[in-house]
Amino acid sequence: MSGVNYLIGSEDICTRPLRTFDERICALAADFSTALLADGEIRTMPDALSLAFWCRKANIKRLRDARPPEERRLGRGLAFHIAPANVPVNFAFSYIFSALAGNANLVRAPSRPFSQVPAVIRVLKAVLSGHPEIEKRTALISYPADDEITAAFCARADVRVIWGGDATVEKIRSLKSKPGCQDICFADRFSFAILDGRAVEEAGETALRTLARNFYNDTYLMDQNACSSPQIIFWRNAAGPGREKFWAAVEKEAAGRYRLQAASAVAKFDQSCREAVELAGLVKHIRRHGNLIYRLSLAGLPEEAETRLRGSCGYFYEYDLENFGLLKDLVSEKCQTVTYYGLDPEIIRDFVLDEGLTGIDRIVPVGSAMDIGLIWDGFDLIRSFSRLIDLTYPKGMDGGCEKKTPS
Amino acid sequence: MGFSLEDLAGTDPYGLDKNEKKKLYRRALSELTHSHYRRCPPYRLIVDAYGHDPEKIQDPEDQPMLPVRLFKELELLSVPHEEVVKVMTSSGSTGQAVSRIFLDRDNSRKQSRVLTRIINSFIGPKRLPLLILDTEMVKRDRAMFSARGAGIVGFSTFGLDTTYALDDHMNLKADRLKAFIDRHAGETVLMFGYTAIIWEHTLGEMEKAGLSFRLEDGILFHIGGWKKLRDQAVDALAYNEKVRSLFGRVRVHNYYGMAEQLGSVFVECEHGHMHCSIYSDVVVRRPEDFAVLGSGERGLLELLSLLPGSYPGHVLLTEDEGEIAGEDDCPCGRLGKYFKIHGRIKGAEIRGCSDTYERR
Repeated sequence: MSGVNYLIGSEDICTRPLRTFDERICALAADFSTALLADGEIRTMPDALSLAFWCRKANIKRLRDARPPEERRLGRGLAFHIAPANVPVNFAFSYIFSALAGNANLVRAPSRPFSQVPAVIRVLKAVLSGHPEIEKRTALISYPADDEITAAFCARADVRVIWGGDATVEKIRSLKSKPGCQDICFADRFSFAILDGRAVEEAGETALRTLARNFYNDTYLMDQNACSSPQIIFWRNAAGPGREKFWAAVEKEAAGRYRLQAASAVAKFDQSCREAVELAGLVKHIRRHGNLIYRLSLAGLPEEAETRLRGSCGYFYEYDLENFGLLKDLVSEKCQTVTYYGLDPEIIRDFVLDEGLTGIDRIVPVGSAMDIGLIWDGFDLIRSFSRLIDLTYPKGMDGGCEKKTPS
Repeated sequence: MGFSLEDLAGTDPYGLDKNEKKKLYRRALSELTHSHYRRCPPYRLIVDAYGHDPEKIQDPEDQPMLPVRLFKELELLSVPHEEVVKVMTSSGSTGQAVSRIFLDRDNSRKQSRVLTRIINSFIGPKRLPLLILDTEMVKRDRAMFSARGAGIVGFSTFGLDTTYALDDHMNLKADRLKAFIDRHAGETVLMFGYTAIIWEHTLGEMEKAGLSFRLEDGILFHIGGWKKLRDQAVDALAYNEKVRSLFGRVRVHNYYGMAEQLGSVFVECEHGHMHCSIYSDVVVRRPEDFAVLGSGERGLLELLSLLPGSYPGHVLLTEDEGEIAGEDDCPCGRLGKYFKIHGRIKGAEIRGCSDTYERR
């Protein structure tokens, strides 16, 4: 197709699926990990290193072993991935997850000029040459936004993996696909944190520094703009000096690491002034730590808080959470990740289960918000990306058992 | 109550030194903050949310500032709607929201008086033959009547025999231009226009047509963004040279002002320095924490103006970068701060999960 640039592979991609966790794809993942770790350029990129770490042999083995051995799964065929333009290595995770499920993969690489993208592609390309069966099932492409090209790929796909939020999902879904095509859509999500003030207060210097670093990684590392980055900080046991201790530690961490752009500083300041007016009656006060941290202390939550309360680049809403009941009104299907510190996460999970909340897919400790894995947005991605081959024996055989394979 | 222009009527627009100006601004800006705090509820919400106490603030640098973008997002006025006589809108880039600035009679009058005092200090008290290097369309066409049209109307008060160099389709009218210059041979001629439009539609077209004049004494005031010109690597020096090569002896004054603070403009002197008049001041702030920066340090420009009475625009944080170049010591003799503008800050590149498909 004209206008499409094949960074890896070609138009003649082999679309015949492999078994889920086929040895050949596991071997590729392991080699990919080794090659990434050995690469001088990759070693300077924390997010690419986390990819390398995830792909390492032991981790893949652990994930494979954790699956029910009696399940016979096969990839669905060709998966077409629309990767986010602005999260550098997400395209590679999306690729590896789907490849492990057994699919051939056509991946549109992010268009923004992140240095991680060409570096990861360079390493992957070199590694693939030693894995011909996977290589012929892999194509990495780039092309300018063009509905015709996207439509042509959509028409061929057995799975569409659509990252990039509501607008992208809506756009891609409007393009025709095979009737049986499986769409895995990652819509815009909202996340928050629940921190315990007393636990922070009691934390020693090292623990506090670690907490601040973890919180930084959940937020500033992606300009607080990832779906799993917390927007609201709910405080349990808010009285006492824990809260201010926490922010002071975060400020210290961010001051050493975050490159605040002038435009972001102005945007945060503008947003704070605007919201002082728009959220009149709900804003108790605004505090800023230089321009690194903006904190809007709220006395109540507005309607549709999940769409209205959106900060980026270090702009947080704070609210004293006396009891979990409030979450019932707040949480909708938009809610993805809860990061927690100093409280028992099972309380949160049980609350979601008992109250039948439509949102909250992940409950992870502060520092793990960005840890992408095979379970994401409430999907078991391996299952979503693959087919289960159901086998039934005739009645009366094998002791009258109808089914060998669990559903 | 409130700042009265009459207090400054007898003062040269560049006649207050550092200490005198500070004294004036402590009083005048505090009064403005008080007044807006009382009369503009959104302003009060912001001041309160940040915990500022209008009673305690003294130094101009401590006055609560508003980001200019806020005037595109909120309706900010300190007078009842029925007292508004004019709503100014910023031109803004295509597709972007525009600022809305609400002027009452008093605010509007202050703007034109102060503009007159400032411009007169450069051109003298008499009206001069005026050549507008633009099209008259901007005045007629309501859709185009934004800050651009208002600027032309405002400047026309300094002119006689006001003549437009461009026709309705932005084409240079060489005959009209020649006739105007012939009519006023030997006189001081005033010219006005927008920086980038002059460059493209007047200077560029004159050059193409091989047209040039030898004015004995011309004065050009031009205003507007430099982005287009910077992209073509045109700086002030090259700009001024081009003007002189095509028009003869012309004093070129670039000036700077925003729709949010019309009237109290900043004018570049013959030494290329952008000056604050007694009606306005500039503070440069560090983007990281908004700390006040000293001379020669580059940061965000905050503009102070004594004029905004009907809307809370007396202390504004702009999205322009610049630096203070000096104070009270320009060889031109004008007192007050002078500064450099480095243009709009770069848009932020933000990471995140959204917006993948359409953007490149």
